[in-house]
Amino acid sequence: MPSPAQVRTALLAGCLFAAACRNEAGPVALGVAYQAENLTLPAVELAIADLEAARQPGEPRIVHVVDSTLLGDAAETEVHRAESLVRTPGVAAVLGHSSSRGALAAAPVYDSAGIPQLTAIATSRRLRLAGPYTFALAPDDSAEGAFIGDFVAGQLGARQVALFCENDEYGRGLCSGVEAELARRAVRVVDRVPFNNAGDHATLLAATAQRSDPDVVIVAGRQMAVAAFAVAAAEHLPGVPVVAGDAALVLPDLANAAGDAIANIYVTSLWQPDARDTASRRFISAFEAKTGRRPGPFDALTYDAMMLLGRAIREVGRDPDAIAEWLRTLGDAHPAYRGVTGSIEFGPERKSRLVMTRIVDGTPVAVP
Amino acid sequence: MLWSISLIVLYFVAFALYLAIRVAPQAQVLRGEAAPLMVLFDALAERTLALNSMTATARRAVLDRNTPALDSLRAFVLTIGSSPTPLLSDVPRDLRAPLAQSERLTADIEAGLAELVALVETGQSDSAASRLRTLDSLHAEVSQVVFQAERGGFAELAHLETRLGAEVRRAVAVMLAWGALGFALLLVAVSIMRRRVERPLADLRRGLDAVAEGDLNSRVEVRRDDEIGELATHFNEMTGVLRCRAEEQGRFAAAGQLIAGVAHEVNNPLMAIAALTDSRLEDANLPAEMRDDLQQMRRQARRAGKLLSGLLRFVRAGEPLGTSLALNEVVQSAVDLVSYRFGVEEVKLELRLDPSLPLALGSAGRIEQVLVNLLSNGLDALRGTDRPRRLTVDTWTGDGKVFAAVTDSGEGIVPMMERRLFMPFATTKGADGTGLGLYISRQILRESGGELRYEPTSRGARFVVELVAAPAETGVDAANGNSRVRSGRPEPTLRGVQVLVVDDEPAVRQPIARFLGRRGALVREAGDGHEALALIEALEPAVLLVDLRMPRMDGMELCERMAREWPHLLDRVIILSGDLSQLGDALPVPADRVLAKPVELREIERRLVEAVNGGQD
Repeated sequence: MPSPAQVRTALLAGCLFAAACRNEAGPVALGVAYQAENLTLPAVELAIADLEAARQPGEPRIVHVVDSTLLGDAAETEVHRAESLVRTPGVAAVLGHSSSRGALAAAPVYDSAGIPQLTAIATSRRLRLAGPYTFALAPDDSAEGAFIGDFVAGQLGARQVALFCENDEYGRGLCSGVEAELARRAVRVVDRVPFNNAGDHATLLAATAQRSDPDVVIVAGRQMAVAAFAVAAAEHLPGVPVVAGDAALVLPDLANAAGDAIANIYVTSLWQPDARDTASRRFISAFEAKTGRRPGPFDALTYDAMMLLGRAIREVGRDPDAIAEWLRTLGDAHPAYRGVTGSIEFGPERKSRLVMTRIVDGTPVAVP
Repeated sequence: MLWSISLIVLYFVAFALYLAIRVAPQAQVLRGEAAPLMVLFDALAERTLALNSMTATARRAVLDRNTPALDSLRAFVLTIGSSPTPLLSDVPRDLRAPLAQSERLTADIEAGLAELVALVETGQSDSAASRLRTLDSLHAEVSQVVFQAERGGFAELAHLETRLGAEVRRAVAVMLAWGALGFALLLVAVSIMRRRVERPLADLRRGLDAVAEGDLNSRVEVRRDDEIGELATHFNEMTGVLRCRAEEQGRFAAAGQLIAGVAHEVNNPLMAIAALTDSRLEDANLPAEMRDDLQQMRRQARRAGKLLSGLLRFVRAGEPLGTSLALNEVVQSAVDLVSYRFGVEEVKLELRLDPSLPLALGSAGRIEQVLVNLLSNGLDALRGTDRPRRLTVDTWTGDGKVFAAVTDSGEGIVPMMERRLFMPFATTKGADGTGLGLYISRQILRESGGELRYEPTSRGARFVVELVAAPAETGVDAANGNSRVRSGRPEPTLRGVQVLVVDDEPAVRQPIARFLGRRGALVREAGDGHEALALIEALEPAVLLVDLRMPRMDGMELCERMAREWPHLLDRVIILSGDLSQLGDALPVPADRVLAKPVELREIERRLVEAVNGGQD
């Protein structure tokens, strides 16, 4: 029995196919390579609504299509998801995928199809090498790793660090970036432990505590793993702070799983909803009105990614090659896009707006 | 033949290029696609070997509680994640999913090994053993996936190889097809080339051979209107011009012979007139009016004789090459030949001749031909131009050369013609010109070591004849007009000398005889060679004046008989002829003892005196 989301997607794909067959004036589809259950989908819907509201007469309507027939984010799943999206008629670009591993695995599919994929929250630096049709909005793991390393050595004054790296593209990349910065600052990595999401995090940390005496524990992993390590650290390494990357900042999951240990967690945020510009304030209020919660960095980046693709379609039309070229020359041939998360371009000079936060009352608060 | 080989070479070069263009990219693609696959398989093999090794090590560490094995495992765990996983973008499409799956499983095993170390270190042996079984299971699964991936990879490689093989086979098939087609085309091309090039060229060669053998009626068939057809057309035009030229020359030669005959026939009456008038003028009691009339008759006869001799020299042009000439005299002769046109065409002639001109090397007759040609061209150029029309002839010398220039005040030569002026068949006179005049004139001058060149002027055209000056000793005598230094001895005469005058024309013979008789000679007359022989035998004259052309026995035969029977008398023979040009080199006496009709009686007397005195007058 198909879910309502699957039925909705199938109907939309049918409409798009009919429109594409009829003439060029039909709606333009933006594929969304997130799972339907993903919490960032409201940001997608908000962006689509804003694009529709701003649509001028004569401009095509922009719709989104979510492939929700696949569950999970394993690399092979993401490949199939990408193949499904590029086969959907009328898809001019794709938002996603949601993880570095997925985006990297799917990149060849988009290259072959000549359809740009814009990943909002994947941070692997290898995305730059993935192909001419892959664009990453978030700062890459080398930038984030340097930021975390700088915080750990500078703010926390760490001299010995234990690294827990999720054994996937995200965890490896982030750990690599952190190690580089720590080495530059002469901070010693006393332990380096790979883990997977379903692992026995408590035992891993206990063994580490037995082997070494770190000042700080850094966890390059998702929210549940970070929470588990934080809980174990509270037991085996009391007082030792746990610092995590952006992938852990999924609320309220992180706070709920960490319990009291949340007080000992520092987590990197790609965006904080404290911008004072009109667009950001409007987005925050609209998002809160729609979902009843404050938007997180993934929401903001997702919203910006959708709005950016909408702008590209408005500027150059529905041709995927033209959209990719427009994204490629952003900030060069034409001005950088001003989004909720700041100025967006894909050149080597791109600036990141990373913030270290602590979770206070279920809300990320920037560490001064 | 050369073009055939070139064509074949070109064809095969193009063929090689085609193969390179057709197959090389495919080979490049194969290499491009196979290389990352091989790298990936290497990485997979390395990782699988490491996992195999580490799971065995883990088994020892967990089951045997082997501490070194645990240390080794811990050291391995520290390296996990330090090497990047391969990018799937370089991997063939069908291999992406299994490789991604193997990557995930491998990551799980690696993380599981780290966890296993932690479990052992924290003393959770049972959990460690349980985790080891899980790892074994994962290991088996990843081995299966890797095996599938490798099998897919090999299949992919085999597919690539098959593609390349198919491409090579296709290229070879195309090569064979093109080779066969090319060979067929080559045969067709050779056939066409033979028909279009070789045959017309062979025709042309046959035509040239025919022309070389003197057949000026030879014509080549014009098959097409391309370059070879154009060549054939030019050949036909050229043979046409040569034919016209030959006919013209034939007519010219015939006219020359006619003129020679006429000259002889006219020179005899002229000689008669001259002799009669000379004879009459010897009478001191002649009334003045009659003397004037007779003198006028004598001048006109001489003028006519001079004109005839010039005509004969021009049409015969038989003088040997390399002789010397007095250019001023040649210029004057040439001018005389075309002088009738100056009055008719209202052209003013200006002669600016350098009197100190040395002799020049060359044949007077041939140089005269050149000058007549230049003068005629000048007169033609002036026809139809505004008056005054002027033609100037200059002579000068310098740098061992002797020059003559013919300058007209016409419209000059158009620049585009200047370059072709001395080429054969280049003419500005249209159908009236052969286009050979200047070409032949230049050839004549070059044969004499000279040159003919055109010098543009502000108005009109100027052609300069350049000749090599003759060595000084050659020229002094002739240049000074054979001036002789006479001694103070008494003038020798014919008084009492036996003179035999042999001429078939009584009108010529009798006045000469009467004149010589009056000068004291004992004159006998003979009407032909036979009569002369009889008189020679009877009288043995001291000197003889012999006409060449006579009936029954002419002067030549008479001289031959004398050479046989009275050789000593041959040195005292003066030849008299109406046409010297016909004699050529066959003169029976030296050239200085030959007189051309009409000649003054006093000159005859002088020559006879010389002959009597053995040249010492």
